Amino acid sequence: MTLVPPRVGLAILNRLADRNEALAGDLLEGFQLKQSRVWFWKELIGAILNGSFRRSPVVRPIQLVEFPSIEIPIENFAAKREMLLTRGLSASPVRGVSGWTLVMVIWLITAVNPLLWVLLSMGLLAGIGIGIYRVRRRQRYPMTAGADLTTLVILDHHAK
Amino acid sequence: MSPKSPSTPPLYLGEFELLVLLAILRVDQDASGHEAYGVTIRDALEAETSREVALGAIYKTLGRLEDKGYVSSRIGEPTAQRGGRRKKLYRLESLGSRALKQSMADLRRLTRGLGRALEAL
Repeated sequence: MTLVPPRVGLAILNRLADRNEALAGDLLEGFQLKQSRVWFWKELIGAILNGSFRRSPVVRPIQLVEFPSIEIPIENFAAKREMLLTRGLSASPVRGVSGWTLVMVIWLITAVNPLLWVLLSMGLLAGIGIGIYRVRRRQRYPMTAGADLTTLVILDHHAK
Repeated sequence: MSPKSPSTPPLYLGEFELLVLLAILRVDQDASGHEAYGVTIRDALEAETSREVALGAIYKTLGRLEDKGYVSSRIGEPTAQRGGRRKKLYRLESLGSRALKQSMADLRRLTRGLGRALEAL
């Protein structure tokens, strides 16, 4: 009797297959030959743990032409100056919420439920942690020279 | 000893990289006409060595060898046996052949005259 791969394992494999189609196919082909669910699980977990199903770190260029500068043009200097002037240490990053409103919100949180500060702090720490992880990951897997070259070639082609 | 040019990539091979390159060569030279991909490379390794090899480990090594330019890959046809998923077929490149030759020559030089000592181990 021909064994079928474990359903849960197959579901996991189907979910990961687009990250490494060849390995997913090989695992199924290997299962057909070995006829062992233990082998299938061992191989699947091993492949996940050693990062064979990790997304490719290669950054593909998604732009065909150079993006316009995000700098505010010189003719809008007045708007830029106004925007810079409205940014103060007491100002809120949320539009429409001024510094005093922020002070009131802080007072309300403290008065109503100080435990919310714990949640906010945890969220802040988690955000910092994720940020550090992403920066380290980017340092470990920098944009490949191939991707850079492709972008340059495309931009060069457009320049011509 | 002549200094190495910075543009020349070092042709060093790790032990498992050497085994995988030899397995690709073996599959390609095989009279059965099989092409080198994960399953056939694993079969060749398990048939000729005493180790059990994980497919994930082979793919990691193949990825590294491809990054170094030692092997190249192309996508094969999907088959029903593989759940409709395509194979990734690997081929030894000239740089890989040079690395393989160099490693094998190093091994031969290192083991020259050690026949009895190795047998006694």
